[in-house]
Amino acid sequence: MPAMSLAVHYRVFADLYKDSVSLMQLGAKLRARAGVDEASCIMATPANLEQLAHAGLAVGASFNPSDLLVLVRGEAQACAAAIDDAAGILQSEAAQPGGSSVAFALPLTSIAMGQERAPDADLALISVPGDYAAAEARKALALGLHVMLFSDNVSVGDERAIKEYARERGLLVMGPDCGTAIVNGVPLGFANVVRRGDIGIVAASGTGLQEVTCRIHQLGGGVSQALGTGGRDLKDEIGGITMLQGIEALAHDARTRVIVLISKPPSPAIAQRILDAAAGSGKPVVVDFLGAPAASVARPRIVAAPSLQYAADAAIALAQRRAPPPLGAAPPVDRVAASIAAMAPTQRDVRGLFCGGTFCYETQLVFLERGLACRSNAPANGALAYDGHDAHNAGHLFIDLGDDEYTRGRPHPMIDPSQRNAAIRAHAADPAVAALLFDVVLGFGAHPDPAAELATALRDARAIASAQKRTLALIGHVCGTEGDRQDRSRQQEMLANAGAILAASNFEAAALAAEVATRRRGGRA
Amino acid sequence: VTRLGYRVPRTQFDGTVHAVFARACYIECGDTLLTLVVATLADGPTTLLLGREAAADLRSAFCRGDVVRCREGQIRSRGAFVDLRSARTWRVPDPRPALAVSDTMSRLELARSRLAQVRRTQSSVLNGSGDAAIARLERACRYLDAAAALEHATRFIGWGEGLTPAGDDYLVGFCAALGTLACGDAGRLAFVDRMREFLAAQESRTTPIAAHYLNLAALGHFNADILRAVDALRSEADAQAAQRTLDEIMATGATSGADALTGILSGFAAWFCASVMECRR
Repeated sequence: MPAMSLAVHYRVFADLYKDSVSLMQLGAKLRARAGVDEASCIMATPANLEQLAHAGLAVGASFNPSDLLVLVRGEAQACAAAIDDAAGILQSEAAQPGGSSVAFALPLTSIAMGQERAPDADLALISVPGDYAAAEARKALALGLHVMLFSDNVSVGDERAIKEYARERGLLVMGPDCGTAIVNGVPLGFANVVRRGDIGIVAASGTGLQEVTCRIHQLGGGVSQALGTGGRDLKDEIGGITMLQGIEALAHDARTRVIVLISKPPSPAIAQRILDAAAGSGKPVVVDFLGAPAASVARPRIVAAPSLQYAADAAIALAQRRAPPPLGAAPPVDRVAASIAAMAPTQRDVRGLFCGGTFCYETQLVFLERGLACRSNAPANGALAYDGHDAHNAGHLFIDLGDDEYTRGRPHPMIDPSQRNAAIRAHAADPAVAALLFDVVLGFGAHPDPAAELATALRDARAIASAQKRTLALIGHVCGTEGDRQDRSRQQEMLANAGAILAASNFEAAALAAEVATRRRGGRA
Repeated sequence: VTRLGYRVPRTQFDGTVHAVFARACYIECGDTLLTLVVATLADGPTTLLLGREAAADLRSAFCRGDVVRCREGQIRSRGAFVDLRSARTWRVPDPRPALAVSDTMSRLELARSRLAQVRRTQSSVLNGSGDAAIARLERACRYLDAAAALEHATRFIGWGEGLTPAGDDYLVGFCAALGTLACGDAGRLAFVDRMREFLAAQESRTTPIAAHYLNLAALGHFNADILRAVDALRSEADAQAAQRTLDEIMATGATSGADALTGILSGFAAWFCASVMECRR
């Protein structure tokens, strides 16, 4: 076969400046063309020309260092076409100084390159292994970008350092381990499709934030901003830096009429600082410090919420300039009565298998408040720790399947629910189990159709129990909206068809499960 | 504008827009280039740092060739009005006391490690074919062999992609480190002077913007991010603060910051690490 002769074509663009990123992108685009062996887009400095000569790309002409040189080696026809294309791109960009470079497809490999391509961007979403996350966050902050840090495994020291660094620059760090936020109507991470409105939320809990935003949407309200802080923000080592910044931002946000704060209970000192900032915001605030006594939270203009459900309900009422709803509304316990009546004498325990850590936590609070002892791998204050063994004798047991021990080396159960579905079948075989409690979390980053596989697991669970002449109460709730790509109504329908009893909220589901536990213990079945 | 570099005329000048990018606009003004930059970029001797409320993309306000006229602290051009009157002047901060040698050695180790990470995604000619050239320049510098050093430095002028070729960024960082590490040593000071004379004569061999920064370096003037990086290695007691500063400079441009840091580390390798080794011997 005859050897293909290679030609070198070049064109000079006098006094044309392009930044390095654009030139590298153009070079990559030209090199990717069929028939092109090598391409280079450089300033025509003597050093660069010498480098080209060493690479066999010598051009016998003299140039000015401020000239841009586009040079291509390959098949003659391909080179000519590539040069023409490059000229078209460079000259059209030169004619339109504000023009975008998106015609080039070189992958972005740094935050700085991303900012060059999108100079109006003001937030960086960082999801890299924890060892690198803090450094990437600092780079983004140095570029003037707010940060949503999806990554976990960031040390407490690094978290505090990057949050202080951000605060000095008037920037916000959401995270680490922040999975959900809605900023100026843009959903980030696992966020759901919710209406825009006048309720602003700052939450140290991803699923807590999802539950409240979804319920606000379901009740006809809307969300102005929903800011995540990361789960450790209110710990003493961090001092609530992001939550305090979030409160201040919402206080100044003209769209926000009511503020909602969600977190596990902080230390008294941090709580005081947060509540002082909330009281000073000049707006009505609903606070759900999960499990904190109402008296330690409530003060003028601050409503203490005993549940995520109530936090959303109270926020809606306040946004509509109504009084918050009364506390203590009874859950619809008759919905579990038939299942309880059909249970075998051995059935006494509730097992909760959760994707959402806050749902697991809130469920424990509901049980503890009713005097029902329980265990968990992520125990709330007053619950017993579960070490992963002997579930049969664990009593009421609530497992957060999103906890590190279950997600190491595998996706979060909101993304891949197979581990939870297997656990449902396993617990269904335990004669002590009276009720299985579950959550389904929808949203942008979540599994595209979680109920489909879960419904199969629930049918299997019922069949396993039925074969042993037992009846299981399958109690759950779907956190999401009809606007989510998974469609909450469709998900609920699939689960209901599989025999699930669906509650309106996690709190209600927990209350129904607690009713089962109470009545099985009390022998009233 | 919130801050003006100490070499920027405060009240009156005339210029022409030489080049404009999303976050920086270069204005040719007499024999210098003034740089109007967005709030997130670094101060510098010829830099006008805009407030956060200014346009995020300067290409929407300036075009190449626009005439820029400043009178009584107010800049006007075809598409922009910039008020300098309430801007503070940025000046080079006073040097801080040097750390113990072992602390600077650990800062250098940190910087090398962070730079290696960054180079995985932000490589330039320096970390490809540049290693041998860098080693040669460091060696000549270590032995105060000015003739050899200038010969090797020639290789770097105008070498690499983009607006400020990587080799030029490297030399600016290199000179900043050498200037700090000369420490009153007559031999080193003479060497730095030779390097600076050399840089000042390279205008025709690189892009006008890179030549501007080489000229500033030749006069001993550097942007704030370069000075902060040198200070982080030599004087910053807080390791986390040092790392933040190093990360900041590496976030500059596509590779410019990383290239300048490569030069700074090279200067330390030539004069700081070598001294330490001699002391230990």
